[in-house]
Formats: sequence, C-alpha cells, structure tokens
Amino acid sequence: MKIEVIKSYALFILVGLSLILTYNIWTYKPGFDVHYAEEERMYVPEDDFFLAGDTLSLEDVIIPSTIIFHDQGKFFGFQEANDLKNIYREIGRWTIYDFSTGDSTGPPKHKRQIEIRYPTPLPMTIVPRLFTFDKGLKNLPSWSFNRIFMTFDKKQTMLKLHFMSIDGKQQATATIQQAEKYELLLNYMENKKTLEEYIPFQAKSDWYIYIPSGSVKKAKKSFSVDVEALNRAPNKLINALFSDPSLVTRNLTKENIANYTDGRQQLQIDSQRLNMEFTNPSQTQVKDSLNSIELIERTVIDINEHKGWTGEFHLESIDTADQKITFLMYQNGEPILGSNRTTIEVERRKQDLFKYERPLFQISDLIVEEMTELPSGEKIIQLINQSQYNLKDIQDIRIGYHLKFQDRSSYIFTLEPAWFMKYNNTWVEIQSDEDLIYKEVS
Amino acid sequence: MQWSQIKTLFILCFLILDIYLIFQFIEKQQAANIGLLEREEITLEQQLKDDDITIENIPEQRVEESFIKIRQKAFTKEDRNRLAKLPNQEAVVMNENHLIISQFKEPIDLPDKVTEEQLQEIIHPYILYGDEYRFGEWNKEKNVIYFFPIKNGRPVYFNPSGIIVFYLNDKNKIVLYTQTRLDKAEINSEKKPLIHPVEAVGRLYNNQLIASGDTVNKLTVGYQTAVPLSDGVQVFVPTWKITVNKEKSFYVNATEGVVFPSGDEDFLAEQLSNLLNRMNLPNKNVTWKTTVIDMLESKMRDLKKRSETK
Repeated sequence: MKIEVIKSYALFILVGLSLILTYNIWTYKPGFDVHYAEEERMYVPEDDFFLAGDTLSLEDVIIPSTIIFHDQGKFFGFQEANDLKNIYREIGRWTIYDFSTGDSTGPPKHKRQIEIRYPTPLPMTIVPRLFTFDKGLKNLPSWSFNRIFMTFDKKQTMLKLHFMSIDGKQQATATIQQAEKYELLLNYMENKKTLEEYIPFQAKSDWYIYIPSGSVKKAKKSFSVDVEALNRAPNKLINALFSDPSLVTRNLTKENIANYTDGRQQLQIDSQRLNMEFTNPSQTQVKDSLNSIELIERTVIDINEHKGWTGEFHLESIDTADQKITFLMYQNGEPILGSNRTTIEVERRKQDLFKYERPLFQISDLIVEEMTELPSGEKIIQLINQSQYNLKDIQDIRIGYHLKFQDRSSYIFTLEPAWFMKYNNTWVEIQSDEDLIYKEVS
Repeated sequence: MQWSQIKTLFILCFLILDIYLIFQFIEKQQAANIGLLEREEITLEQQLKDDDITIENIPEQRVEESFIKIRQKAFTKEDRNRLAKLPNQEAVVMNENHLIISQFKEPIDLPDKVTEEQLQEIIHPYILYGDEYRFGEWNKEKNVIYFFPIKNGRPVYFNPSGIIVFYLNDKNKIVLYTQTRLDKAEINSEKKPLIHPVEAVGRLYNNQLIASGDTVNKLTVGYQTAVPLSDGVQVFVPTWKITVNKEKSFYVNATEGVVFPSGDEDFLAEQLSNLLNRMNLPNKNVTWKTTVIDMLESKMRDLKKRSETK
C-alpha cells in the first residue's frame, strides 16, 4: 500500500517533468552572453536625456531663404518671414503631377513667375520628401538644385514647376493642376497684400540677389534665457551622448570650460558662451561617406533622439566632402546671423556623430520690443558697390539678427536687426557707418 | 492488469521519455551557445587566416579590466633634491614642477642588442621613480625610446602627463630625456569584459591598417586616453596594444573596439615642439648643448617633412 503511494508520486513528478522539459525545448532561446560592453549599458529614463526641445522631420528644417514674385520686371517678397514659411508649407501639401526631367537653357523668363530659393543646394532625390506627388517618382536625377520657379499657364489655369540644376543646364518640370491653387498664387501677384517691393542686386552675370527696397522697419527684441533648461542641459547631454554615462569624469579648465570625458568621447561645455562641443573620435581611417540625404536624415534622427531642436532651426549648409551639416537658429522666421553660437554643427563619420556643436540656451520670454529702422536696400547696394568686397564672392544678402548678451548674470539677450551678406560662405554684417568699416563676424 | 502494474509501466515510460528530453535540451543549449560565442570569432579568425594574417600568442582567457582615472603629479622639493644628485646629468624641472628635462653630461651608450630587462637596468640609476615605469617602445628610425608608467598593473600608453622619453643620437647614445609623472590610479568603474583580441585585430583589418602577409606578434592590455588633458583628471580606457611585424604598434580601445589614432610620431612631434620651446627659454640652471638642440631640431624637421609628404 505504501509503495503504491510512492509510485503515484513518482509518476506525477515524472509527468510534470516531461511537460516542463517539452515546454523548455520549444521555447528555448539562447540568452545573450555578455559579449560587448554595450549590452551592459545602464537604463536611463527618457526624461533624463531629453532636452527641452522638439522632434522634427526632415521637411521641417528645409525651408527656403526667400520667395520672390517676379512681376513685369518688378520684384516682390514677403514682409513677414512667417508668411513665407506658411505658404511654402502649403505648397508642400499640393499634389504635383507630370514630373519629368530634361535639358535646360536657363531659368524661365516669364513676365510673371515665382522663384523659391534655398540657402544650400539640395539633391533632386530629396524632392519627394519636400513635396507631394501623385505617384512615386522613379529615376530621379543625381544633380542638385537650389531654385524652383513657378510659372502660370493661363490657358489651362495651372501652375508649372521648374527645378533648376545649379549649373542651369538641366531642369525637372512638373505641374499643379488645381485651379484654386493657381488663383491663390495669382492673387498674391495681383494684390501684393502681404508683399513688399524688392530690388535686384547683380553679384555675378547670372546671379541676382533680391533685397527689400526702401527703408526697413524691424523690431529689436529682448529675450530671457530659460535658465532652468540651461542648467539641466549638461546632465541630459551626458546621458544622451556618451556610451556609458557612469564613466564620465568632469574637469574644469582654466578658461572655465567644463570638460566631460570617458577617455574616448569628450563633451566641452562653455558656460560663458552657452554652447557645447562634443567630440567622438572613432575610426578615423574610414573615409566612407554618406550622401547629402543620408547626412541630413541621420543627423535629424540623432538630434531628435535627445529632443535637441530647442528652437527654430533651418538647414543652412551641407558639405558632403567634410561630412558636415549646419543648421541656423531663427527667431520668428528670421535668421540669427551675427553670432557663431547660434548654429548646430554636426560632422559625421558614417553612422556616428564625430563632432557636434550647438547652443545650449533656449529663447524664453519676450521682455521688450522696440522698432528700429534699417538702411534701405538701395543704400546697402551702394555701400557694397563702394566697398572692397569682391562682388562675385557675395552669395546672398539678408536681414538677420545680431545676438548680444546684455546682462550675463540675469541671462537677458537682445536680437538686433541688421543687414548681413554671405561672403565666401561666412555671414558678415554690413555696417552702415559712413566710413564704411566692415566688421567680420567671427 | 492491475492499476499498480500500469503505474509501474507508466513510470518506466516517462522515465525514458524524460531522460530523452533532458538530453535533447542539453544538446540544444550547447548548440545555441556555441553558435553565439564562436560564430563570429571563428569566421573572423578564418577570414584573417585566409588573408594570410598570422596572429601569434593569442591570449586564451577573456580579459576583464576597469577604467581608471589619474591626475598628474608634480615633482616635490625632495624629488628635486634627489634629481640634483642623480649621476651624469644636468636637469631642470619646468612647467610648474611637472616636467623634468635632463641632459646627460656623458651620453649613455646602449649596446647594439639589448633586451628590455637590460635596458631597464641600464637606465634605472639615472632616473627618478624608475620602478614606476616600464620599457614601452623603441622607434629605431627616429632614435627615441619611450618608457610608460605602470598603473593598476598595466602600462599607460603615450600620455604627455606620464611618460619618459629618451632621445638618442645616431650613435645609439642617449643624450637627453624628459619625464612626467602620473599620480596614483583611481578605479573608475567595475571590471568590464574586454573585446576578444582577435576581434581587436579584426578592427585593424577592417580599417585597412594591417594587410595580407602581416604577422601580429603580441597582444597586451594597457591604458590609453583619446582625450589627454594637461591639467585635471584624465580617464583612461583599457586598450589592446597590437604589435605587428615586431615593429609597428596599434592601439585599439578594448571596450568599444575603436582604433585610437595611433602613431607615436604625432605624439613625438608634439613633444618635440614643446621641448624645443622650453629649451629656448633662457635658464640659469642649465646650458643646453648645441649638439643636443641641433639633434632635436633635425628630428623635428624630419617629422615635419614626413607629415607633409603624407
């Protein structure tokens, strides 16, 4: 009798064991051996590496620098930079048909046409990301463009788009067929409600720069820096950028720059200039490079990962040779040009950030605003013509802001409107003093 | 049949079934583990072999090591007194007592064939804290010998804040040396498993730093930093030193596999320009021999020429 009880238990155990074993064999997955140090990475809560910014997509940062309405030999542009952004966003949503590419003899010369200009050449392959097409585009050409022309086709009441290659020898065309879009843009042309007159400045035989005519009224604004966000930024960046934040050691240099390093990567935070520089030495020998789309795309993703868009930033330049990409800080649609600490600069080695420089301050509340008057566009052209500058090296002329810190202890800064020109890839302020002293923007 | 007999039969059946299942399970586990651990190393090793790259003396065991952090240490007054008593040299301490530059009155002859141990012994009487340093590298082309400090039991490679550099003339005689010193190491992390040495060699291979026909002679672990700081705390990363063809060394970060921009020549150029600047300052304690300065300047020119042709 006792043996029978033991046998029952034994049978029960054996059946149970067989079930457990069968289950285990079916579901067995090899556990990951600690093979690389990366798997030991500490878990960091998301809030601890998000800056107080946004995540953006590629089309949010690629914004034209100007949109010019050509009307019977006269030129018009937007008074408010934000209007430009809004209409451009809208055009991006319109359905575009009949995309085709071909040779070109130069930009269209219609009496009435619209010209959209970007601050840097963009590859044609990016076009499907910026605009909406009726169908997928195949065989996109490899050349780049920085201008799009829109012409009006009266007969068919439709708009025609011309993407011009940089050398002007090739173009891609497409159409926007909805009559109401045609009417909308034609209305701008005819009423010129939110537009003001621009004048052309000929820098090269085939390159005109358009700037506002007459004196320009712009607001000088004072802002406060979001001090709380500023103070939290270093820790968040350490968590976001280092492979293992627990290894990071802090040093303070004689120049008051905080230097964080884990022996390989380095983050320097300059509390005077409110900016940071991260360097990530990697396989220096590898010269594999990304094309310009990959370059923008990877960089936008990397910055999104720590919500690094802490303000309005537009793509300013792409340099595929150096694998470098620059975004410029804007305020209300207008660029902040008179300072080199308002740019996000990223240099890449393939998937990895190699160098990453960015401002740490964030524009917070508007404190005061007062109107100032800038010299007229005509005056600026006169000044440039009288100056020592090589006209053919002038790439662009814009009104932008000068960033000045008023009071460092209370973190208040002023944005002062001024004229700037892009001379040999550097933005230089055009001083309107009578003695024509030009100040280099360092 | 009775219930008790049926039970016995069942017990037997399930016993056999369970034994079978246990074997199955163990087999599966082993297969998976081997696959995981060995696959990439075997293929990499095979790949290297196929390309005629030989690796000698692969360390068998997985190595674990921690990161360390160290400050630079200044030479004390006592150090300076001891330095003044060292034989056959005129020495000065510069850079706020962080750097010794010393010139031998009578250059020290090195035998043609000399082992690392012999070299250590020859040099020992002429330097301070000789026990803290070990022979590191000898650049025969540039006639420079490096001694690295030993921290946490391992050498610290090419760090301007802790190294002895011996400058030789073309007759194989040491005429001058410079010395900097690191403080005690502080452990910065718990021990971390390092990448497998074959993997480290693979990184060099992938970066085309070694080529077909090369032989890897030696794989050792030491410390290096990609961010040398002149003051403050430096963080050092465990690093594989990979000696190729008995002459060239590469340094691969042993936790992430990043190849450090190696080349003692960049380091040397930096050291030389620093040294020459300091020697050109007037100094009442020592008069530098013109032959020594000439020799250093010619080394410097040599290095510059090379970097230009690159």
